[in-house]
Amino acid sequence: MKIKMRERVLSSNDAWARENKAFLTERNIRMLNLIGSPGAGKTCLLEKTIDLLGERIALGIIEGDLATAKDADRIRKKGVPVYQINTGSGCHLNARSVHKAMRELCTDTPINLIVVENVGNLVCPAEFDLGEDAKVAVLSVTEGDDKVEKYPLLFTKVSVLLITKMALLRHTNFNLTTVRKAFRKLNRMAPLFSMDSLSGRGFSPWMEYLNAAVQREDSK
Amino acid sequence: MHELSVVDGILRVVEIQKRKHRFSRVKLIEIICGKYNCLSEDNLQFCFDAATESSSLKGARLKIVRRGEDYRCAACNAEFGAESESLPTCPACRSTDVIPRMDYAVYVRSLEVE
Repeated sequence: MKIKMRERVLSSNDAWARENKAFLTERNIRMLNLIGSPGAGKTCLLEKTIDLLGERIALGIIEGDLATAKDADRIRKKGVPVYQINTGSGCHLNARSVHKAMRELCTDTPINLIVVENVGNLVCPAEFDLGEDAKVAVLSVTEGDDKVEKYPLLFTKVSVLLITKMALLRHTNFNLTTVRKAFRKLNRMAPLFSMDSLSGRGFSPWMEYLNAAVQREDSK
Repeated sequence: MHELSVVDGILRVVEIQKRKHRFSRVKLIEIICGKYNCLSEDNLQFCFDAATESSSLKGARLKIVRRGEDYRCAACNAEFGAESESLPTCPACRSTDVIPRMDYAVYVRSLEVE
């Protein structure tokens, strides 16, 4: 006998993602899901973002790693509320673990933007929605300009692509035009910003993007 | 290893269907997903076998079907399906300003049971 149906496989994660979305909407909080390889410079990007943000946005960070609280420690040093999730052997964050984290994060402090730094991985995190407003891809120039074509799912889903470690560009054979073309074949809408987190060069469009994201939420 | 989360989702779906249809054995589980979903039949089958080793689902085979994507043309609003590797051009007005349908969900499409 053949039983035909159309049942979502990740319905449990999707249900938690909807729960998260409702939680955020109710509190007028916007959430970004930051995805990139290990060592792409996600935490470094957050550190510089915090420096440049000043008091304008009440930021909260959720860190996802297999082990250690090293990233959370770095963020905490910057004076920003942070919650570290350790996934053990899990290659991605799921909506349920993020729900717990966002509840903890929002207990004492007023927050209007949560950035989730997902587990370093270009594959699995792209499959699991967390209830975020937008996915943000982080790709460093040292990873090579072929990564957009090699890991297409993430790049079709993101709302913005950040190219990091631009100060190293001249030491690599990374071609920004190659990346831009490959990205446009998959994603016509999302902007691409190239930047360097140590010097802060090229951060203005990204900071504008964050400000616009939060303001959009306020006007609702 | 996100395959394990996917297998867990598949097992939930099968469990619900089992209560409804009262079958004793599952021969084939057909999964449908988009062309970009990070799923391979081999890896998924490997995880499925490991997860069902001592259950009534042992021996069931998984089959992944990739669906073509649907697009909407931003210029003329035409809706069309396409299977090309990159974003296609609109068949109606030749515009390249096309928007993919944002459904990346993975579904169980059918169960072959006894």
